[in-house]
Amino acid sequence: MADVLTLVQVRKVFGGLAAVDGVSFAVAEREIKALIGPNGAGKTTVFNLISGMLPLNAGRIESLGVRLNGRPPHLISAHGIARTFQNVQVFAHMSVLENVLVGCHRHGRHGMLAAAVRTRRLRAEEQALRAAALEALSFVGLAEQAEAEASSLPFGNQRLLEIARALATRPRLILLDEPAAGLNTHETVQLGELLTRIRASGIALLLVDHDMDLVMDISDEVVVLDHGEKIAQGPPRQVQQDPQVLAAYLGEN
Amino acid sequence: MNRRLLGFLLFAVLLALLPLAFSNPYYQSIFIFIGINAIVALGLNLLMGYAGQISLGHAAFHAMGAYGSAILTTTYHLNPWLAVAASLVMAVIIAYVMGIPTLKLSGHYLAIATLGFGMIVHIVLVQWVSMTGGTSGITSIPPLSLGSFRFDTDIRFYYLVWACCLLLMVISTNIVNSRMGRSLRAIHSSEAAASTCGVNVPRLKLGVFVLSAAYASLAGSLYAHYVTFISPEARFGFPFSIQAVVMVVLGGLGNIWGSLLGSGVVTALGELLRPMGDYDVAAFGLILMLAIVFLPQGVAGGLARLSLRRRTPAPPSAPSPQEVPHG
Amino acid sequence: MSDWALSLQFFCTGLTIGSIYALIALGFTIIYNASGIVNFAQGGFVMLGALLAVSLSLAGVPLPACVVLSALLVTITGCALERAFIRPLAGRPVITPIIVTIGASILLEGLAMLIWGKDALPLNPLPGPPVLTVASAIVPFQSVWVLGVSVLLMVGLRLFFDRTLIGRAMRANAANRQGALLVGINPGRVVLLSFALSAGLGALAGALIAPITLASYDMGTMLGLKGFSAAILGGLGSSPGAILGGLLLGLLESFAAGFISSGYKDAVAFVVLLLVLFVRPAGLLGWRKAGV
Repeated sequence: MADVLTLVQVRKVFGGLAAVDGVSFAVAEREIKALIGPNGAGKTTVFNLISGMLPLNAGRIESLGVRLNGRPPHLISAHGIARTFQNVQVFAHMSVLENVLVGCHRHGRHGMLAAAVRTRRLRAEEQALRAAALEALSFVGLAEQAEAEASSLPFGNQRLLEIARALATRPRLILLDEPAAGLNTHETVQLGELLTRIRASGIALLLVDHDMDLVMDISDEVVVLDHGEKIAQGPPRQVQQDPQVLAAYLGEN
Repeated sequence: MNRRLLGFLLFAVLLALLPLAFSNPYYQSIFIFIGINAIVALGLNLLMGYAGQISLGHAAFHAMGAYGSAILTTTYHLNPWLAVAASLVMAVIIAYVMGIPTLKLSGHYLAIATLGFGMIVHIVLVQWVSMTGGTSGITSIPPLSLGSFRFDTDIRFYYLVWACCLLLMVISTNIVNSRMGRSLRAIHSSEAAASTCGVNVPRLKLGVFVLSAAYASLAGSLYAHYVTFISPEARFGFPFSIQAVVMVVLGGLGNIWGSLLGSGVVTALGELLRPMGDYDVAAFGLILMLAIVFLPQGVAGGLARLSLRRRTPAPPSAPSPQEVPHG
Repeated sequence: MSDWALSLQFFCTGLTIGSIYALIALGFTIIYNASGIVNFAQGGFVMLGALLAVSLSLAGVPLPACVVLSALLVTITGCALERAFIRPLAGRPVITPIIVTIGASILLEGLAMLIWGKDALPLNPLPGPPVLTVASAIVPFQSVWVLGVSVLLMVGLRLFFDRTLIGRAMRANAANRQGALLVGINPGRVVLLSFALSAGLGALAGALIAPITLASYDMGTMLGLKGFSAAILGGLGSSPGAILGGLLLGLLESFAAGFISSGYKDAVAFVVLLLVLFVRPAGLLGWRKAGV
């Protein structure tokens, strides 16, 4: 069974400083993997590299045997890798439903010329896309807010909206960048339940977060980065007790 | 959707009846210019209001339509309709070629690049005398005609222009409410997020840029076949590019009817200021500055605020989510 | 005239106009660094400087004083513009100041047309012989003044930004707005000062070049745009870049006008502009991230 995501010796340099250096790991199908590390360890950079927003300096990123690095972000999304952002990037002035519909972008076939004329086929396609979008919203529990303007949603719900949008792209893997940041305990527990449900539906997750309870609770395996390098990898309990990991976090203080 | 269709139909009826109320050819010609300008504004609105890009050089595409039509019909005696189509194709190709490097830029740099492009085209229009007639321009441009029916009177051209404008309004509305339109608006909000949703951001930006150039070119051809005389100074330089931007911004970015409103306001303003003689330039500048400070959502936005009704979510109010870092 | 002699002529002309572009480019750079705004009214300041100098000179004011006084008056105008129209726009999207400053340039041009009419007006050059002969090149002596004053201004600006408290505060603000706030630098005042400086620079540029090119209500647009192209060429946000860009653009334009075609001379600046933006938007010396 090929891995849904493979990083091999990935390296990224910014102005002489290696933000990510020789990082290798893989995410298997239906796995929940966590990527943790002190601030500045390079976690968001890894995400930006995977989703194609930054070019690699060395190494390879693959999914199911297909090379991803060097491709533009929209093609990486087409390959089944979706993501959410640390600083929630919902489309503020569009409705909740429209936000998720953008996630369905690649499932539509009609271009601007067809749109101009509004053929019957296009209208049928629109119906299908809406149905799919509503399904994604229901999954995260936001179906009732479909017509609300995205920016009017409370913060926690905006995070959910991002997840629904990611789900709409019908991914194999979702990169979650600090999904629990800014959530209270109750919301975090609900998030954990949602993520487990997402995994059950067949989607793998790569999760970056600082909430250790969440990470330890739902992850199958944890990868620890420090100063751009991988210093540990293994089941949550094992990593929690790894002296190198403890030293890295204590060293941060 | 049916409400929208009704709106368009009502508007069409109003348009059809208008010349009967205003039989004075002066007023009719103003309405014609409003229509021509509205076509430019509609296209530019797609680019600026929905996709969130900036163009300070759209007069260049307007010129391509006008000069293309003029040259092809006067020097090469091509059928005017073919000339319109050929000019459109030329404008589309140039917009495509220019768009690829230009749209990689954003914010100020994008604005400046489009400005530079517009200036270059203007200079070429003035300097390439053998082709464009230089500052003297081109005269005796034949009117458009269908068989023996010539669109050479104000009232006939009025219907032609507004038929085109109405059609383009419907098309624009359809595009905006489609998958493509949604993705355009998404790009405006966050290019990064849009791209991770699978939106091919560069291709879409290029597409809407080319489309807006097509609108401007069509308007230019219509202008040429109406006025039958064109020269670089009138409408094909930086001042018109700015007027176009003002129409879109003043009318309300991201609002189809706003483009019409903006075109109406700016065109009418131009006429109102004309008797002021040399005061018109200063007055335009002052009005522009005051409007942008006090009416950030444009006239349409201002009116919407007055009515307090919000049936649909408000469209984005201005290109570029970056804010001016300011003290 | 031999090619060598012609080249020397073009070189001198290019250097002269290049210094003007450099001054205008510095004006753009200073405001951009202070506020992130591209001031499209910069050309208007140049034009006002030229025309005010003409009026003052006709009123009998001695020439050097004309130049200084007109600069002062335009500086005040620049401050007024900033307070009235730029300050209230804090926090608005990028397109707003673009349109406002374009509106301001239109307003200034319209006012100038009303006050000074549409004719191109002459201005007496600063004291000196009518021409200067450099090997086989003949240049108006005013060119020497242009170059000399420009150099003095650039040196003065460098000293201002390096040695004075206010100048360093402005640089701090440009480098790190939050850090500057934390140490008590008032960004509003920095922006005001930047407008004042740029307006003054622009006015001086106008008053210096007017004796060579004549002053008219519509000279601002082209000069402003070319000065801006020069700023981009050198790297928007870099003062040495502005100077380098200005001189380089002046030389390019002069040689192109001389050896290729004088009709398309104006296009040189814009072609250069596009090339820079497409190939290396940060310009020759720029360090700011391109695209904002």
